[in-house]
Amino acid sequence: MKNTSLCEHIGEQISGFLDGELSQQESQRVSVHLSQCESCSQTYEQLKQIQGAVSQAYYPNMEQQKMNAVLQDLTSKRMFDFAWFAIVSGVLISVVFGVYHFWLDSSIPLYSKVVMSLIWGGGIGLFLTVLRQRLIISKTDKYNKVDL
Amino acid sequence: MQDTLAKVTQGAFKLALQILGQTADAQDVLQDSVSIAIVHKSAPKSSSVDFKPWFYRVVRNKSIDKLREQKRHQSDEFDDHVDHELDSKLALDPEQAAETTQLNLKIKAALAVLPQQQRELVLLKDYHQMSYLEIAEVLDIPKGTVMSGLHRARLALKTLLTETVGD
Repeated sequence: MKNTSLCEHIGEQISGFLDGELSQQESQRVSVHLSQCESCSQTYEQLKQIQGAVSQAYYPNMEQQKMNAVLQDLTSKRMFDFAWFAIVSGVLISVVFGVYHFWLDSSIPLYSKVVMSLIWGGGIGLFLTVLRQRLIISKTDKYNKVDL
Repeated sequence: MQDTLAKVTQGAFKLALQILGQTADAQDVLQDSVSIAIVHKSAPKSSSVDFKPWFYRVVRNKSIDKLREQKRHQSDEFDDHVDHELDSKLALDPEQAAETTQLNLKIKAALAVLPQQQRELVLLKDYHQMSYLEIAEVLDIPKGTVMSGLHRARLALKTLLTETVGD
């Protein structure tokens, strides 16, 4: 059966069908068309063959020794990230724990709790403000990659 | 996890090799790209699923930069690969090896004739088994154009291959 307008319409969807990238409805439509149109189904079969051949094409791996050296760089970055995460979460947990115990401790008078909290809260607040500014500058500073 | 990462970097190496044609160049590109992955602030973690398309994109761009830099032909190295490959396969099954290698040669020759982006589309999909979404990310094109571009590339490849068979 020859149906040129429909064939044209199906066109690139043959590739989408081959790659399993169509919606269920589209894929059903293509499947029905392929069963009825000899020319499109022939194209489909040829493209499938080519796909198989390309997937089997031979390209050598990078030498294992060199690859290992490269991978080590990447893994050490992961270790670096993990170490930072561990430090930051450790500090956070101990701060929360410390504050909790400080406020629940009945041997410390209320006024000293308030005064200590103000001093420490202010200090941490200042630190965070400066840190935030520094982070913003480091991200937007167009000269930060210039080696002096 | 280490295995998945090794697969991604080996795949990326092959992509560089497919674009550049020279092992030494592809190794340089991979090394550079890993350095970028380490220092770049927006780089996804190497353990996340976003890493593969991101890393492929870096490798692809670096390879094209290098290609532009050199603008030299790759035919010598291409022959080297083929010889090496033929030797290793002959040891297994001579008859089958000859057939596979011939098909392999034909495919590679046809791919080499395709325009750069068509070649990349076919290789990223059929060799690297990436999804359309990932391909769009690697090539920095809209996802909607992947299917049409890929189909055109495959049709061109089909014509090239039928021409060679006809000779």
